[in-house]
Amino acid sequence: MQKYICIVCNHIYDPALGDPDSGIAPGTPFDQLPDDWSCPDCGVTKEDFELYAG
Amino acid sequence: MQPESKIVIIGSGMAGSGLALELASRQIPVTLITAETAGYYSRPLLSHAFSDHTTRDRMMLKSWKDMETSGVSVMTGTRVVSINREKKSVLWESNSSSGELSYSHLVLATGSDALIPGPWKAQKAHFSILNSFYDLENLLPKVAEAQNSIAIVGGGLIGCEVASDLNKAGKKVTLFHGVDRLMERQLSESQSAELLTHFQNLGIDVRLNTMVQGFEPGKVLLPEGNSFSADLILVAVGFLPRTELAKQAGLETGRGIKVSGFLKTSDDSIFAIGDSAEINGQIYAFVLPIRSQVKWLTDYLSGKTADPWVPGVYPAKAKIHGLQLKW
Repeated sequence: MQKYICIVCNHIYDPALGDPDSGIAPGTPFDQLPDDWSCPDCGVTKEDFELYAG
Repeated sequence: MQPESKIVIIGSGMAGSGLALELASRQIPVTLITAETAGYYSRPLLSHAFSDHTTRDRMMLKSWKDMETSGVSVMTGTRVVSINREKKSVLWESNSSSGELSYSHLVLATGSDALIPGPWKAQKAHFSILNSFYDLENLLPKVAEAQNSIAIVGGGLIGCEVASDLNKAGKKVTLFHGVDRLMERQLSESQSAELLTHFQNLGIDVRLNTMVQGFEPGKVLLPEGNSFSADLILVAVGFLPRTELAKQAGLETGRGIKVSGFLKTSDDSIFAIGDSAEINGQIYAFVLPIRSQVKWLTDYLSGKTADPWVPGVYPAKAKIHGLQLKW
């Protein structure tokens, strides 16, 4: 599954890990994150994430 | 494009660099002038670079070369000395040269300095601040050397985040705050109480209602002639928008550079965004509204919108290890 990176703080969303602190289970693809999900490090919304090639 | 249709941005923080990259992605010519030399870094990460040594590298978002590759002309290590509004140009200088650059639109994204109360300015040698990548580079070795005690003056958002991060890094932290609860600007009374208990459980020594009187080498001066000894003293009591350039150019300023709903200063060709911009008496100095201003101004300058920027409701959270704090 594709990882995504925050353009404001370089936080990487890894679907394999999810975001348990925000109630996102491991295995959740980026495009299935709820619209009100925000970057755990800096708080920006999904639209400030881009595909991570690394 | 003709030289007269050129956008010039001053400042390379989240507002300035963010705007430059958005404009460049729409093939709009843009020049970014910055006094910074390191690169475009993520300022919000400054307050948690002590416990995790990868943060320092991770916070570098784009090198200047990356910015140029994205289509932004960058002038680094360069300060704008003055704005000539008649000629629509800025005078700049760097260590090696100086010159004049004309603009069609100028965007002031000059950010903010750490606030240092007047009486403490003469004592600056006795404490540190954390406002830039440069400050962080200075602080990291000092934190590593601070074996016994670190004093943080200021229990606002940054003071609390840094206290949490230094505690996580295994440091003994004492936090001084002048009023009766932590982060009183952001949190409800019950959240402040929750944070206080959390800090106390972590072993952070929190001294509320303690007005710091000043500093001596290795000492925080307290009321009634008392003092507190520390290996390192960090002052985090607020921020001060950088308005000098605007003021000097005769633009209207208050606490920040005054702008309209169109983020325009009192000069139609000059905008201000980010920490330095004041809209209806409000300064929106955090990530979400700044991203929103960046996107709006990109749309406005590229003719995609004629409506003003409307501030929204911005949920925020503090990064305190082991505690979820939202407001």
